[in-house]
Amino acid sequence: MRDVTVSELERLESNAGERDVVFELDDDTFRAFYDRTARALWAYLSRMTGDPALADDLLQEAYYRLLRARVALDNDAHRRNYLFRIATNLVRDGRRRRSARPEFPIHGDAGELLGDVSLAARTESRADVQGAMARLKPRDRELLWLAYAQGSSHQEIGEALGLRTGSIKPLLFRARQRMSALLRKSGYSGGRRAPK
Amino acid sequence: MRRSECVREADVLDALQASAWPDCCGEDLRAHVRRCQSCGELVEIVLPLLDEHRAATTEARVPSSAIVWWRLQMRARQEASRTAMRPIAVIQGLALACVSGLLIAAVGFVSPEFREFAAWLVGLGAAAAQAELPAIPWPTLQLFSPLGVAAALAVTLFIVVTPVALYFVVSDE
Repeated sequence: MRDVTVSELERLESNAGERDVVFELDDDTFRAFYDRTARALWAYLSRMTGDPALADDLLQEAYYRLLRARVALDNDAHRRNYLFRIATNLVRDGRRRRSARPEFPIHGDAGELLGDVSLAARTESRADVQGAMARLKPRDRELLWLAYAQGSSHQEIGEALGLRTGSIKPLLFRARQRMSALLRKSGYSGGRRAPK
Repeated sequence: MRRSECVREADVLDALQASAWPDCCGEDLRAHVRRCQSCGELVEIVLPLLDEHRAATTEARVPSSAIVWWRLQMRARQEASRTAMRPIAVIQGLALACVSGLLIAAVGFVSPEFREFAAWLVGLGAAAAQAELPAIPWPTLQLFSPLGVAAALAVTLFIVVTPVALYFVVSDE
């Protein structure tokens, strides 16, 4: 998302006195909800589209659609799942429109997460995983990300992807097997197994 | 043989997501992961995904909630005003088309050049009638008067101008 320019801010100020458009959430509720979810949503969008700039745009679009949605969302958890559902649909729509191009590219400085493994090994390991993710089917990628990167429950994943909760477990298991096979094929070094 | 899920997978996943793997979890869990193919595979996949998630979250430069709230308000307001303006734009388009049609008809009726042109058209019609073409019914003959030609041209222009005017008024681009 691009930064706000001075003229835009001036315009915002001039409109400050105008009555707010009626949204499904009030200002405070939205801002608290946004602060809790924006980073995770951006991470999801960025890794599912493979394009951080597109993730910026989709982030704003997802919140806009959430605010305009005439859906009864009783609590924050439902709201969050619905937001991820909107984001997933936006990613899928975008994918249909775009020509095929490599997704899930290497982002940022892999070395910043340096832990107990050397920088080179860690970077290589991440590149292997990103390559495998890029070759997965979009739904497998979404499942793996939500379940393992984000730690969502099966119910949350079901709501976010529009799948039955009962079907998540087998789908996730198969996605993991496919990911594992791709990693083996690419000669993945194995990350950090349990120390002997 | 089809490999199935391990019952200790939830423990392994909890340890991974709590950043307790491998140092802060029990030796029995570590020993289990060494033996269990399914849990080993889980560790192999989840660890880099968690790294990726941390990297993406660190990388995220999301605008502040206040800015986003304002942007969304602005956008909603713009959309609301566009929606409200739509019927007005349609009426404006129709009015524009009507006025153009009437104007052209009036100019046609008043202008001597146009009257000559209309008379020439009438002459053409009469010549066609003398050439023993099929009989022209009465309403058509009436059209060949200068006034009829002007009215016909006005109607034709109205039919042509209306959709064009509506297109330009209603289209956003």
